[in-house]
Amino acid sequence: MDVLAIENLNVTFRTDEGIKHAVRDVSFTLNNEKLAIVGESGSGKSTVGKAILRLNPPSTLVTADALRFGETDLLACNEKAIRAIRGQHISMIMQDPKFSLNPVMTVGEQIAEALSVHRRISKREARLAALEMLKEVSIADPEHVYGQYPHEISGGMGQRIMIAMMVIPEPDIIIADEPTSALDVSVQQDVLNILTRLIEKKNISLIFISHDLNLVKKFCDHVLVMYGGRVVESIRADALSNASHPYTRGLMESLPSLRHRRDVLPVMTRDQNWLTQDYTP
Amino acid sequence: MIAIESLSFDMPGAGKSKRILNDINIHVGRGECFGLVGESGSGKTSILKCLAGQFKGWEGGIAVQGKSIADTSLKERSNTMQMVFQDPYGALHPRHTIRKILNEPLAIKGLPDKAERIHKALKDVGLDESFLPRYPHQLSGGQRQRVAIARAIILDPDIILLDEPTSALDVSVQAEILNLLASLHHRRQLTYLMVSHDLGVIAHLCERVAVMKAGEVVEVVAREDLIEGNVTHNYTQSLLQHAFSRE
Ligand SMILES: Nc1ncnc2c1ncn2[C@@H]1O[C@H](COP(=O)(O)OP(=O)(O)OP(=O)(O)O)[C@@H](O)[C@H]1O
Ligand SMILES: Nc1ncnc2c1ncn2[C@@H]1O[C@H](COP(=O)(O)OP(=O)(O)OP(=O)(O)O)[C@@H](O)[C@H]1O
Ligand SMILES: [Mg+2]
Ligand SMILES: [Mg+2]
Repeated sequence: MDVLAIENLNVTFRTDEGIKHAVRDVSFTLNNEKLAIVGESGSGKSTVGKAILRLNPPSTLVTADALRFGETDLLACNEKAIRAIRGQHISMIMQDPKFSLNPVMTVGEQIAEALSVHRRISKREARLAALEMLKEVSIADPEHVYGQYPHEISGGMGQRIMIAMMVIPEPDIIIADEPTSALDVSVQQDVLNILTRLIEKKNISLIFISHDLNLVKKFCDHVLVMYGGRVVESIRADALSNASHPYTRGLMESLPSLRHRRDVLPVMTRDQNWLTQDYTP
Repeated sequence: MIAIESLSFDMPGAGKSKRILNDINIHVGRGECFGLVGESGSGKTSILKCLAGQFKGWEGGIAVQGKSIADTSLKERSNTMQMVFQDPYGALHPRHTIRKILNEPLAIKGLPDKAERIHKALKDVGLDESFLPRYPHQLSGGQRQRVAIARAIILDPDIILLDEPTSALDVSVQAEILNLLASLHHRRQLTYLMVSHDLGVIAHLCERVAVMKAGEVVEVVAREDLIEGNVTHNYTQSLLQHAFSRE
């Protein structure tokens, strides 16, 4: 049985200017793997992630032929059931890390609180465990950072703290939305190693939303490429360099390179046919 | 254009203060594009915040166009210098529409042809006018970052401080924004001080880059030397190694 199965997911936003059909007929399954969702800004990646956990704004219309977590039909869940799933089974690391932290509580207290709820340990133990977690995500001065408020930490620290928080409940699925976009390559590697270790140790499946193709090529098993609300290509990560869809190929070509610097980066001329034509070789 | 000399900054905290910048020296020429890379938490954003006037009480000297910024008002500073923040969520007012966000700097300066300037700035960053009535939370992460860049260029500043301007963008939009920044740089003789964690992005746009670690600049490297691997500090070497191994 798939860990997660999605068939023909559609998401529509109601706004003052009308209807915005942001996700169209998206289908995929997730197993014990690292699945990447890549694609251009505004293509619907975050919206798919949020739809799984019903985190889109209340006026949003979400439909699907199937949206199943194991044997649980997520569409049929009531508010209470979905909250239980969010707390124990599926965690999402949001794209805006600082936004999701409580601004009036120090980051250490937040981690400690999550730990004490989950592991039922004393305050003192929770504090020590929280310091340990900060060290694990390569925070150099855990004692100091423990006492800082979200607005006092740097962008990259915020991302690492969110990752630390998300693995605490030991969920079955982690949906990570651009979790390393603000990190330099060496810290990024540390964080990915931590994620890998936790995922392997606890059998967690990962949905990794990213626009960093070099990264997903190395880090993930399978890749979904989104464009205009649709999945236009589904491909093994190690085959990305031989992708067949013109949008995917365009993405690979627009990467700035240290080795081969070009004065002007190639940009894509978008084509209506991309959404409808079948490019599989 | 920008002269930072012996800049140090202690962040006041409960009880003890913490040194987050230590003896920073950076000179950026007119029309130069200068990069800042370094460890997360090493103080890159803090340098920009000292320049932009968000952090006060630093020691040392910062001069812009030969004039110490200690003697210029924030308003004066905003004529010459604009900043694009790392966190596009915090940077845009959540209850203001995109129209209002872009109109505000124009209104404060009392500039004419507002609609036309807004149209042009949006077009420059690859958005169209259908975004104007929307609120920030109705945009994707990348669209928000483009609005932030549009707001920075709309006033035609001489200097733009860019904090990870493309880290929230997909590579195709990143390519467009980098090309846009490069062409603005040439066309308008703009000076950039740009933070990025991506050495490919830095090498693409910047002629020189300062490498930071734990509140200090450990070395300043020219683009050619970066590409050739002519770097001296251990930390820079390890950054380069990681970057090359990913390509
Ligand atoms: N609450 C909302 N109301 C109206 N439109 C929305 C809302 N949230 C998102 N959208 C629109 O839906 C589309 C998909 O947005 P989404 O955030 O899923 O993009 P994304 O692929 O995650 O992009 P990015 O890489 O920039 O984060 C975008 O065009 C966006 O403007
Ligand atoms: N308002 C603040 N109050 C207290 N400490 C702060 C504040 N802002 C930043 N710091 C601290 O100053 C140090 C440098 O932060 P800064 O944001 O400049 O790092 P950075 O190099 O931009 O990192 P990143 O790449 O992660 O964004 C960090 O240790 C951070 O915790
Ligand atoms: Mg997104
Ligand atoms: Mg920063």
